[in-house]
Amino acid sequence: MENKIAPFLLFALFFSTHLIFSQSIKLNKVSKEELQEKYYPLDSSANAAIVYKKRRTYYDYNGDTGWTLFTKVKERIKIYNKEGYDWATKRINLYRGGVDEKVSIKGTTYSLINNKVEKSKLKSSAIFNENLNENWSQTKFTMPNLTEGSIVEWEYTIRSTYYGNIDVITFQHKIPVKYIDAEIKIPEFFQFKYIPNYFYPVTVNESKNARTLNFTYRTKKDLNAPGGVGGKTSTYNTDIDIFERVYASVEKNIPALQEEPYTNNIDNYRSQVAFELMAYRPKNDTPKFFNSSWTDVSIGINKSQSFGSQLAKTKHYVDDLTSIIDENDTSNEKIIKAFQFVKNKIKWNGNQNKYTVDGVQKAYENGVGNAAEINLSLVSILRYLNINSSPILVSTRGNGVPLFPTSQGYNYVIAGIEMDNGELILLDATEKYSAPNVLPLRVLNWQGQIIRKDGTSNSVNLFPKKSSTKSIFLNAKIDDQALITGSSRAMYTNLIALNYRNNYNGVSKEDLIGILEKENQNIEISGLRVSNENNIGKSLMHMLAFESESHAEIIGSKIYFSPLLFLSKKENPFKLEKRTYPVDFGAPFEEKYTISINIPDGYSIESKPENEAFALPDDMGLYKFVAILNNNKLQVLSTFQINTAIISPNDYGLLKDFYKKIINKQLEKVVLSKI
Amino acid sequence: MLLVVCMINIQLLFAQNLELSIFKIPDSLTKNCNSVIRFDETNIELMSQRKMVIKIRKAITILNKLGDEESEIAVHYDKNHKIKSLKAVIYNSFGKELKKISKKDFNDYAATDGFSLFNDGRLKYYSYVPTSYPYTISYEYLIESVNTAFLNRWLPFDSYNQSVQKSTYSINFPNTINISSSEKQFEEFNVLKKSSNTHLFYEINNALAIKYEEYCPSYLEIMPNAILASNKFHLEGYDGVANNWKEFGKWMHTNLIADRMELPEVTKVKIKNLVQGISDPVEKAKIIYDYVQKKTRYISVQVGIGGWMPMLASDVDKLSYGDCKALTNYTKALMDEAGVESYYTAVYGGRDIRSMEPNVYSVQGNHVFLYVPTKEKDYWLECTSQTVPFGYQGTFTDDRDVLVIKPDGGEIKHTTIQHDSISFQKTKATYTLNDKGSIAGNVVISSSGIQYDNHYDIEKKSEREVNNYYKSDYWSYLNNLTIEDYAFKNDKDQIIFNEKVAVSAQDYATFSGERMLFTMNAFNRATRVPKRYRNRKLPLKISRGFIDTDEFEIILPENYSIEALANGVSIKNKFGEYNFSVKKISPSKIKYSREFLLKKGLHPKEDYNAYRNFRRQIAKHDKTKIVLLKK
Repeated sequence: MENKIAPFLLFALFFSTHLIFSQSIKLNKVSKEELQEKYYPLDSSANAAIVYKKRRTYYDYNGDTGWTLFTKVKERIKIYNKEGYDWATKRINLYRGGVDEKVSIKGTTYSLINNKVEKSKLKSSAIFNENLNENWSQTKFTMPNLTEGSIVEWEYTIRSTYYGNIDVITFQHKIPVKYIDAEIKIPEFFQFKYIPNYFYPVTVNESKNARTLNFTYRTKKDLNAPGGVGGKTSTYNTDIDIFERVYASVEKNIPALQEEPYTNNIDNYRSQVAFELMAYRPKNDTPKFFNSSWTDVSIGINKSQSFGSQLAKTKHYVDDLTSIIDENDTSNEKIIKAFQFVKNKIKWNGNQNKYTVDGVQKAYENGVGNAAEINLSLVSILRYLNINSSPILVSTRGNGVPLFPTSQGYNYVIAGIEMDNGELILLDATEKYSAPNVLPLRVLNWQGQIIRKDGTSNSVNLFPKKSSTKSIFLNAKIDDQALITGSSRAMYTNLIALNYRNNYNGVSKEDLIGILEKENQNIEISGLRVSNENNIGKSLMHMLAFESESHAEIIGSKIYFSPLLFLSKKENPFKLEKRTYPVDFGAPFEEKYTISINIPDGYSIESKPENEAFALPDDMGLYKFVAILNNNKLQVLSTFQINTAIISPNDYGLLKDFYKKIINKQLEKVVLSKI
Repeated sequence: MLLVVCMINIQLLFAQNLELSIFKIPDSLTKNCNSVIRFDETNIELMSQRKMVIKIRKAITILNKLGDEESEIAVHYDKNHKIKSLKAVIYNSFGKELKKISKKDFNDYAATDGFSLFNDGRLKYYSYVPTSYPYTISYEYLIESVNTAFLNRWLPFDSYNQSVQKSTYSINFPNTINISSSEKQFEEFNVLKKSSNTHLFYEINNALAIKYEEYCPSYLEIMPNAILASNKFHLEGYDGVANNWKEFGKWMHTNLIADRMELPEVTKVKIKNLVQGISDPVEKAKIIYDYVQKKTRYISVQVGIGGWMPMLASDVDKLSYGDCKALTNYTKALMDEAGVESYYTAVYGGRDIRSMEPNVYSVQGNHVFLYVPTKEKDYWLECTSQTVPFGYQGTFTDDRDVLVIKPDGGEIKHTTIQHDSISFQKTKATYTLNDKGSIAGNVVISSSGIQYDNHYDIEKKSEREVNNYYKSDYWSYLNNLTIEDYAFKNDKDQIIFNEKVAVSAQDYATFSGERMLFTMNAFNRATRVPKRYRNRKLPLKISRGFIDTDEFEIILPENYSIEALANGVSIKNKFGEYNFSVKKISPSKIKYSREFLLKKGLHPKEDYNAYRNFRRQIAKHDKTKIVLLKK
């Protein structure tokens, strides 16, 4: 391709647009004032701040090596105190493929010593490179001579032959950014799309720019040259005029990104812009197109030998399968049998993949496989049984919500069944205890993309509509010494059951008693029975016999206790005043307690908490408390529901208040007095 | 005849190792157990001071998924510690071979320790994904090393909930070399030991699994183990001979430290100026320590001998960073310049107290710090921290034997013990309860000794983090807490950390009809109750003691009267003391006083329940409520 590129015409209009957006500030010399600054003016809690960051990404061409992608970064960070010292250490990850990515680094620390600006250079002997694994290495360094108030500055250039891999521009960090200026220049031969993450909005200006590209290329041994085979290699040098697309962004005063509890993946909320390669159109050569929609991506993935073709392989399992399937089985029976069959035959090796590594057949033979090998096997088996099943590509929570369609956007695959009535059943056979439509938490993220046999594809919702429930029936008796004895039966379903089974199946009974005692505010458990441990079609059940000295107390001549005893919530998980990101519960859930408490002879109930109910708007959540007196028995019903997995930050105040009311309600006491 | 051929064929197809079948495990070894070590052989040939060959053969049966971790194989290596061969085989429960793993199947990783910027150690790692349980993983590897300064220790148990069918350790050495050793819990576990002047051998058979229990001594005090050292050794290019700590310390000083302390002239002058006119060595040491804390920070880089030899003091001076060795050595160089006596000191750092093994003269410990002896007292200086007060002995290095390295030799010394009475926390508060059940008030907390360690960190935190600390951590049991204001005073001379916090909490009290109930102890509840063990097996260890005293003045709402006031409580036992009392100062004011002393101590397992009861009582009493009635 290299010697085919010819000069071509350039449109004059491309010249002008560029200038309008050139608003970059040149980096000034580090001043005394900057070094004297004691805290970041816009956020006094910042331990450090990125005061200046300039990023330039551009391409060059060389006849021997082809395109090289350069990323040049210049960064200045002010370190306010010792807690910010970590920001003087930099780690740069580099891809190791056929041609490893390379980096060159320069750095200086500026400090104010005796009212004089002192510079210390980063020595090359203090830069380390470590091979992390087959695919990645890491170059790392830490700046010398740091003091509180120092400013560190470094400049590095990464050279990469992977021309499609333009690094994401990250605008937001754990520390504030005072100024960032990024510019990505892409030769016309490449067509990229930029995708911003809008949580904290930034502006990217797009323009065009003329460039004269110097091509150096060498002809390979010229077979037609006089002298035949031994022909000489000659080097040519030519200038061609092209245009480049320029994406530029200059932003000021970007606040720090703070981690909050019940957050899915913090990176989903980070302000950044990603670049997606859409096409490579070499001059006078056939263009290469890359993915442009999730459907295209999915169809592309489906074409891989390690994905779609795997679905056709049936020979290796047919004999085993037919021995367990009865021709009279209903579709539902077949689905359950196939699901359990795959779980039993192939154990998950913990790897989250969308592609097979060993292939479905080898995974089947070895009895071990990654997520793709397991769930593609499941799809294949279901199809063999004439069930309308398709693979569904997924991005796990760890992988986050991808900014644009790339094959990396998906990292996992599950199986789906489209029923005749339009219902979609989701299956993940990597987990021993997962059930149809009960997926492990890691999969409950964003949306999936189903790829049907006929090649059609569209997105599907992964979040469970069914609540996970925890229902407890509890019978207790309080004696005149305020000792509580009783028994309870707890039933868990769906995601709650999956988590319990994953965590506690296999734990010895004695240890489980210890765990449940802790979970239940240090009651003493004298007996425990667990049912349906492995029967995923039914609720997991815990039956307890317990005793507690600390859930009722005698003050004066009266006995006081909370009607939910050790089932009462004690702590509001939402402590902070404000919230910037959604609260993510993973799945809707319900906690339903039915309690019956016998009071001691010679006592009567003097007062009890009033019946009450409160709700979140839009049916997001509900709490109901009902207590009824029945002779010497108190009967309590407490129902707590969160009906939506994700709650927007706008509703955070309501949610926090909702929890507060529930806790206050549950802490209210029943008063018993002597007759 | 045909049959025989057939059977041989089967044998060849499915190599079987009957010895590894799970039916060969005695029943008693599967109780409380997730994995069983079938055999573990460590064979060391110490050929000379500079050559050692280590051969490991090991097989572990994993009984259930909780034991999977024990099947991981991780073999460290570097350029002087080479893996010559490495392979593994997986067997099913009958001892049938499932899979062969060769050296190339192992992953190769940088041996990241989690805190170093760079470390040149590497790691061969393999983790098997089981398809069913039980299974057995057997492996063997051979290592050749020139570094004889570290002999493998013997620790037959890799973990809790693991039994050991057989484990042996054998070392052969020339009769020109002496091996010193320290052997722990050998009698309790019937360890067989044989020794001669060229050979040492340990063996343990059928050792039952040990279950982890809260508040137990560290595993080295429970499990059998031995550590060994050669009196002639080699370390990354340096030969050494040591028959006692004196010789060992001298070797370390001469080879690893002595010529690392040269300082640039400018710095020497600077230090001289800093301490000019001061004669008290403690005053001088404080100035130097402050200088180091301001100038340097902790960055760990471990390459070759750099893992044991400090970076040059002049480099630390230039770069202003280093690891514990570098910063300790640098501080010592400055102390020397200022005329303050100080010594480089090796220690096992960590919250779990671990002493240097007194009779094994070798490179021990995982950390170094600086010892400054004075006439009045010993000072131990942590040189990697920019915030620890001068001479403060935190939980990382307190109360243990350490190796002090002097130019004429090494000696073992014990670090400071923070006695119960020094480790105090005093909380004084005045708070008002209103008729809505909300409280508001001021709390003052001063902490010292080991309790200083638990508190002083928040001084550096941002407002958001401080808020979060009080709400989610320190007072997590107080719902609806608002931190109105706070101020800290870190008294580094007295080593007392003072917090002054203005707080309020809505709906603190609960209502039952006309009554209002609330817990008097709002600001220092010891809510943690140790886990219950029906059959406690291990001794109870309380590593550090402390004393808490609390005084809260509580102003009650005017339209309520006290219906029931709790009686005070006083408990005293071998673990400590607890008491609280309530005094009515006026119709609308009460005073709550509390004291909780916990003593450091090691108690037999029989005492565990009594201790748990003590803590249960305290947790309950700390929630004592008082009842108010609407007037």
